[in-house]
Amino acid sequence: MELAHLYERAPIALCVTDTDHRYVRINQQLCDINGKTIEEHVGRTVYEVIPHLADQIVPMFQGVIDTAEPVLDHEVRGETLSFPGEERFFLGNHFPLISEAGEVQYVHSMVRDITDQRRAEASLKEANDRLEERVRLRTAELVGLGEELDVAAAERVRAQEEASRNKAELAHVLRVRSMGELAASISHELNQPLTAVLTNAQTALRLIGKKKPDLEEVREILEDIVSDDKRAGEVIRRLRTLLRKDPVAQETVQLDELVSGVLPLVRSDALGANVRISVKSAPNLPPVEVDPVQVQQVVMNLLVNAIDAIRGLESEGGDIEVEISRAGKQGVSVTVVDNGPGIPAKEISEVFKPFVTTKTEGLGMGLAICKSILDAHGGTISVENSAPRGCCFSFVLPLKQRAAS
Amino acid sequence: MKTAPHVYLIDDDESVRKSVARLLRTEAYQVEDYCSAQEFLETCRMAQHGCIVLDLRMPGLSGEGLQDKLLAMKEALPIIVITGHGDLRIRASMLKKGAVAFLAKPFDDQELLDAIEAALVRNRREVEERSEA
Repeated sequence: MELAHLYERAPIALCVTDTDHRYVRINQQLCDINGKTIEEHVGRTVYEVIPHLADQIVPMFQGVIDTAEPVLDHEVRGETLSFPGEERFFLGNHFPLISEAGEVQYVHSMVRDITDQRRAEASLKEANDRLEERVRLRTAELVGLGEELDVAAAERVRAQEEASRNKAELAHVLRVRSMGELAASISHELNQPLTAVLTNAQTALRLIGKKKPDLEEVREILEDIVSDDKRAGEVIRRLRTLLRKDPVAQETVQLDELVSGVLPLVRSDALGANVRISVKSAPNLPPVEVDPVQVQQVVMNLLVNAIDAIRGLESEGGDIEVEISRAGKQGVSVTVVDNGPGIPAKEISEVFKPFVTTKTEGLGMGLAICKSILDAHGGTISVENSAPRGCCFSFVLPLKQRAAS
Repeated sequence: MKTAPHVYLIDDDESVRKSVARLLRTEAYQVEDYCSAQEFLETCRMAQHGCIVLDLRMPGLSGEGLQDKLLAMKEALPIIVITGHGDLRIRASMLKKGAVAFLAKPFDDQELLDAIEAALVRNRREVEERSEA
């Protein structure tokens, strides 16, 4: 009596079927799932009660009867009367009940509705697929950006070709143009968030593959992926603004505004190296006529160099001062002063030549490109060590561009 | 009951550090993470069994600089380098000095886990050799 009551009220769906697959006993939970009353089950076969699911169930029942072995974690999916028009998922354990004569007399079944769990897994999988797709798209964008960089670099090299006499050096520059230090600095900015996104997405996939996935952890991962994706997107957005301008266009610009536009691109480098950058600008500067993208690249390269110079020291950070002022009647100058170690005296006259570098990871291209850009603009660039330490780069652009010789 | 192997993770980028630490914890390693080589040298008490996952370009002491300092110690742990810079010279130099692997960011999770397993195998062998010597 108590057992019958327990069977009836058990918080899991239960039934007993005989060797003809007729229901002998069934509890309320399973009746609710099947959408029929106890009376509509008892004495009828599985085919009669749930015809659309019977093909998944009857062969398994027959297996339990034939082998006298239980079947565990048997999954059934399909529509039920209780949820018309919906695909539901059920997980069942089925045990043979053996008579005294040693033959299987009944099959005892316990069934759990796992639809909610399956749906949660599916939506997580879908969210991850979407994120992986975004990572893939971002990567494709990066490749595209690389090509745009190539175009910009090719323009730069062509300008240098006109300006320089040493064709052999230039051929070398052309071959390695896309590996310049600027590209390396940008790829570093993008690589970090992309690495975090990939690792997080793959970790989430590992987590949801587990028996009891920690959904809270998965949620935190997805939040991190979203914020890293935005971080990478922000770098790309800033770069696009820089690169989409026509690289050979001559525009009338204010050098102080141009310098301000570069600062956000090196901000994270500066923070990482604990470097403060301050900008001082003379009032009422006349405009210059330049290719703004190329001149921004010069400014960025000087800033990245200054940051790297300070980064190499084991001191408590450093300072970079950028000053924009009049250079006589004919030009405007930009000066970048750092308090790093300076440049060894015997190397200082060589720094604008290609493949001369004081950095362990440098290619020695950055300053050579800067010089070629200034040559093409009819400007000049120079360097000196400053007291008590550090070095001072400064370039001058003429108010009106002269033809490069 | 054996304790899980230690993995010491050193990277200056917080997102990378957090995600890699999470992956390794999911795979049941004991992870300790550090945002600089200096912090690692100053605060870490290295276990006998474990390995180091090391970023290359960091403020202050670089990944290669840390490798040199660790090599000068007697019981150094194997190093796996993760970097966004595929500098061939540094790669060759660090592998020659005993780094187990040099992985380019972004890397596949399995690539890193395989490298860690290889590093732990080498670490066990080196500990055994030291105890025999």
